Amino acid sequence: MSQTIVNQLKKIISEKLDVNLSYHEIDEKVSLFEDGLGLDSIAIVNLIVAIENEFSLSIPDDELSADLFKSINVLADFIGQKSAQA
Amino acid sequence: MFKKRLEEMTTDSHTGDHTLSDGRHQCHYRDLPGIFIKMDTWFEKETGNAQNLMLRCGNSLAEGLVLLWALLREKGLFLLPRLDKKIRNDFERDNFHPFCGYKIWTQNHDKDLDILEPQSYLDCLKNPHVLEDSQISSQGSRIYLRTSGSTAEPKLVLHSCKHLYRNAADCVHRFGITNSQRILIPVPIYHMYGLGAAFLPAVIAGASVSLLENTNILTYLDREKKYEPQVAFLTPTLIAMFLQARKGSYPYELTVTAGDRISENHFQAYEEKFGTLVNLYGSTELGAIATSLPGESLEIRKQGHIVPMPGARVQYRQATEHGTGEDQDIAELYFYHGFGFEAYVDKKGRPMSERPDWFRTMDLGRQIDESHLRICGRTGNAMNRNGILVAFLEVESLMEQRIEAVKHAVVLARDDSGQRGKKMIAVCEIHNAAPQSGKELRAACFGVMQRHLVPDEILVLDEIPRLANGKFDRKKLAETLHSQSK
Repeated sequence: MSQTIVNQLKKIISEKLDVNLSYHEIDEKVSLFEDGLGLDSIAIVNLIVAIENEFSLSIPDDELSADLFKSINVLADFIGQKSAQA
Repeated sequence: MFKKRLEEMTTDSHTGDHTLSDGRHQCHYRDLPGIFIKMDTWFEKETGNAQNLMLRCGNSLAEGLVLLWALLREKGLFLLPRLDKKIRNDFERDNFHPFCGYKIWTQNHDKDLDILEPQSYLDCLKNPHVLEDSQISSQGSRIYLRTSGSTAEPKLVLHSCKHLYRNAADCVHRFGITNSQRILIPVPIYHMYGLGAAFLPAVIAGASVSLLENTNILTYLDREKKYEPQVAFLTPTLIAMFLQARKGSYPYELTVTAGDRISENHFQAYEEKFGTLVNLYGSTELGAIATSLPGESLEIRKQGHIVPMPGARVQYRQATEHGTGEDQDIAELYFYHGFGFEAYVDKKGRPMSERPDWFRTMDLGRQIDESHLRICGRTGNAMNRNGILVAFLEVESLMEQRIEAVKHAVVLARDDSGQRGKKMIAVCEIHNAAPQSGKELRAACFGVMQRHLVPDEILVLDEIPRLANGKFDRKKLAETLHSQSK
């Protein structure tokens, strides 16, 4: 897992999403959903779009899954693998 | 009728194998009689003769089964959303309605719940102050729903099972729902849309049903992959999310949407990837009132042209006494609905007043032809300009459809001090590639709409404020505009 990607994701969440979370408040080990960081359905879509723009990726429907958003660490692993394939 | 229909579902050898599920738990139609007998035993033991019950309801299968049981067993059920911690706390603390003898909720939503054993997941709390003399406590199966309160104080709306059934049966016919379909319902079944237009129609058709809660694009896609539905009931917000985040297509036989308008561009884009889309216009009081017809052309459906349900008739009443000429096209909509609500009731469960034959929807509409009409927004979202009534929704649609740079438009009235009084202000989000000022956009408006529709002023924002549900926050925008005008 790349710490750089983790940090980029924290930056996206704190700066580009309307979630009222500061960079330092974001725990990369907790869920991104309501039982963790509390991202609502709109924020999740905005995060997907922001990730695709930021990392120049396209995430097909069959790879989009709630499991992917279990934590920022899991998400960062996925982005790292996708970037390596590109 | 509902009882008879459900008995047919449970005993039919083909339909009996169809399933009701919520992604964690599942039962077959043939299991329902056994589940309901166990519920009879539990409710009799725990709630005695209480006729009216409050159910904390989400989109779990357990809650859906309690709902069906109540409709079959001549009970009154007040559906209360199970949404967030605050509501949960309220529910458990002090918000008993005096006409409800017990609050009911389901627990143990984890994976080891045995859906066939309702006594293992039902729980209740007795109302210490229940009224014994409720005037409507023995009027057959009934559901109480609370209006959203978007236009006035929330009201309690009483529906009879009989009318819910008839309205649901009309939805089955209108949407062509069959018992061979798998239907995904991610919209809440404690609201009229999810209950009356989706869940009950799916059940009485004998279709397989999958309820989804905590809906977001990811939970939805996970379910879609596993369940492979043919029909889905969505909201405009979900549709916008699909268009924003999904790359692929999916072959739905039918998607139903209800609520705010969908722009023609979005409507077409959705249909190209996900199949036939129909609009449903309804209310908590009347249930499904009108829909677009699945068999009609995309051109007709995307313009929002809808046809009243068989039990409904429309009256177009003049929305302004000063209106002349073109504005007569836009009228306030009143509906007669043979299968609408019984009455508004007070906190004691007593009918508050006679239900009018013609229900004032508080919506504006335009008659398209003898059978079709088009909704033009709420009566509050309109203003009179030079004697002509202008519905903001129409201006928004024109700007989004005809001015290329405009991505989204929200039109509001602003009280300006001075001789001119109210001004019509449009707030726009524009496409990144096409930066334009408000003045340039207004100049463009003159070329694509009639003079009386052109906003007095256009403001361009990077992002129009939205509510948590994705709808534009008109209240916040109005407050911002009001403070600017001071």
